Amino acid sequence: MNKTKRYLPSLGFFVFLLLAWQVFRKLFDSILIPSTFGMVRAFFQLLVKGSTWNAFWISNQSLVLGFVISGVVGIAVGLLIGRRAWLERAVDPWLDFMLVVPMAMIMPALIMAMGFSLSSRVVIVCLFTFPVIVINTQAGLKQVSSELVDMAHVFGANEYKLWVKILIKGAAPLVWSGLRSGLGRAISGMVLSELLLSSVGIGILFQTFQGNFDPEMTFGLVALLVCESLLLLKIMNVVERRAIPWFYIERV
Amino acid sequence: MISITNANKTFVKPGSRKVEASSVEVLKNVNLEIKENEFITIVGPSGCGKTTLLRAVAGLTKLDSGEIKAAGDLVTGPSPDRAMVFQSFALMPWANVMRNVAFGLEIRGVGKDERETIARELILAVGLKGFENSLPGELSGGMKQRVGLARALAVNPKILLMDEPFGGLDEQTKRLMQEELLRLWESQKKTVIFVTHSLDEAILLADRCVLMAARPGHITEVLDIPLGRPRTRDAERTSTYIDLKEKIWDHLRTAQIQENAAKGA
Repeated sequence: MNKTKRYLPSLGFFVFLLLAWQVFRKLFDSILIPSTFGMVRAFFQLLVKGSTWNAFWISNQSLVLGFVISGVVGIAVGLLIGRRAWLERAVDPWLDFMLVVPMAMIMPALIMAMGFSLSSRVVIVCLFTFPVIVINTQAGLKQVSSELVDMAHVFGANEYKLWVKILIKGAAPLVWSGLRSGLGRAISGMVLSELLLSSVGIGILFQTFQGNFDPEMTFGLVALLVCESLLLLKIMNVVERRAIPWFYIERV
Repeated sequence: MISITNANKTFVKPGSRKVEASSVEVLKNVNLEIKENEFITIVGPSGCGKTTLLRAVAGLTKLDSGEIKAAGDLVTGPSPDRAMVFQSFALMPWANVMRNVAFGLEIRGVGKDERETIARELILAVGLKGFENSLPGELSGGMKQRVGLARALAVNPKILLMDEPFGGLDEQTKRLMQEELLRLWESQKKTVIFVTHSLDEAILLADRCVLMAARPGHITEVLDIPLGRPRTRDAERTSTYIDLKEKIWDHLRTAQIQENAAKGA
């Protein structure tokens, strides 16, 4: 099935939803429900505006920095605690804490402590992303079969070679899984921090549209964000398939 | 070549609130001498200690007391001199056949060209020519085990340890692999310890067959297999073979029934 045919059903369904939305709006006849055409028009209007790109550039800095830092440190920590039970016991409760703490409530307090700077936004993105990457890396390390480790020892591997040739390669699929989930969470973190801080970039745009009671522009902005997220996830997918092609081969 | 003296190993299972702590004497006073280039099979019911014994010779499991000497040296840890073939293949799924076979050589620091030459020879010897670039995920069970065998042979070990290597294969593949192993062993003799559940394998492949039983794990008897070398499948039709098989089954049946009773109780 060639690429176009594969995407046809989902594309078709999307168009159907847009049209259904239009019908729904006519039925309820309210100015607060944006029209399909209005939303689509807003999307393209925003797309061509320089200020939109500028806003995205500012906001994405926290995403990129936060994700990269969380990725590098998260994988390192995950690998470290994956092999030492006592380290795992020490760190696990903090990871759980980071996962469950209600970010939306903590953030204003965080901002008061750290200000509206890029650093504070990066911290927020890290809080969202870091635990997921650590947990997945840790799990990836654990699921490397002990038989493979035995095999490596039999054939003369010392601890260093064991790590480089077996453990890291074996943990890779789950590490990538963690990076994928981490990216999703990083994007959520960025968006949430923008909404609550609304001092820079996308946050300002959102505030403006809300203030003008412009639901169509709001939708356009959301649609742009979703497009960016999908694009980033797609890129991650391509990179992952390049990095661990062996994981995706057709099984006999 | 290999001498096992007074090997003892107990596995302790820690207790919990509900269950008392228990210990299993998996090896008790096991003694065995194996000559150079002898092919030894070890057969017995589950829990008789055969795999533990093999792992002890490999250096993967430490004995509580007793010692194992291999080629004159005391066994203190794993070494490619005592290469192992694993029941579930233990192949690196991210590496192709060539890389897997050459793994031991790679660890040793052998240069790429040299190790690939050696690996290629062995890949040919085990009948996998053409599959050098295949990934384990693309191979059948029998093919995977050939890779495991090639990998073990690639490091030219003095001793080959095989842990129920054909256990996970279907009957036809199993029989083919047995014949191939016999053929390979004839062309490059090594000292082999082969652990198995299968009566046929225990006799067909071996110079001597070690019978073990559980609770505690120990050797009950060591049988000579006077079936001549080179060995072919025709040996299965001799009366010696049939008698041996009967004898081993008698032993296994008793041991297995005992084991089942003990587990049930």
